[in-house]
Amino acid sequence: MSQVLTVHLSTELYDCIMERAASANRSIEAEALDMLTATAASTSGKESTQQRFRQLANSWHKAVAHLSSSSKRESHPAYQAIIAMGPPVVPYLLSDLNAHGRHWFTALTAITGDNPVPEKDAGVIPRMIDAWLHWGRAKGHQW
Amino acid sequence: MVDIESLFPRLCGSLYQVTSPPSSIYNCIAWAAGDMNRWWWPDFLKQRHWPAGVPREETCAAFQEAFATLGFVVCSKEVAEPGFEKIAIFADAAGPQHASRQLQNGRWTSKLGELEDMEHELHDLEGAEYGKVSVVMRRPL
Repeated sequence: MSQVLTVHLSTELYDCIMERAASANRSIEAEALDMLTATAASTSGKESTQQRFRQLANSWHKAVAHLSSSSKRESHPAYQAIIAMGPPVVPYLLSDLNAHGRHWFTALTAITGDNPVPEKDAGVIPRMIDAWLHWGRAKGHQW
Repeated sequence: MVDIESLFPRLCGSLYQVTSPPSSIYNCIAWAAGDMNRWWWPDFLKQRHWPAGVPREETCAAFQEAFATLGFVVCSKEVAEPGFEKIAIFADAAGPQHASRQLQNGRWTSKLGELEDMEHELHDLEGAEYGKVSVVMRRPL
């Protein structure tokens, strides 16, 4: 089922669509529709990644907050599910690290293959957080 | 909000007292060791603090060795002894899960993961979450 949508574009965006349509030898309507669809899909994906991360993070924290054991905390199914979400979840891990200081260090290492924390700072949580946030900015992540 | 008494049923009706706000900066092992600035655990990725030279193993032997670096030795009594500070290591089938430190008044203080510190009777934290007290160690004050 299709719907009619009237869109008012800025001059810059209109020119951009015109240029893309011309270079692809397509109609401006087809190009605009593709861009709109891609943007909607991208936004929807971000929301569902964010929502899933929040649900898993809260579930994980509630289950393991009283534990010290890294192996028990990080083998919890919710933590493993967050790791399985892969690179798209990294900005949310960094955001949560920044806002709540929850321990996403192992997940970040598992997903990215990096560990920016110097050995001397192992276990010094504020410095570990700073190291990962610095790493995130250097990699161009935004949160 | 985590319900402490549902996790540790032996606290129900016991005279325990929460003595700090929650913190994810330090954990029970650090607190027992007198360190409020680091999270101690022998994780294989080496992302947590563990004393240099002590095996990064989740075994009672490795945890005893970690506390031995601070001057603690295994002792047989958990009752307070004048002139000594004591710690207790809790373990279950998977290995060590928790540590507590004895206060001057004979009661014990624990940090519950990233939750609060609390004052309690030693065996009130035994159960499904932390297992049982497996060893007590002491050092001169």
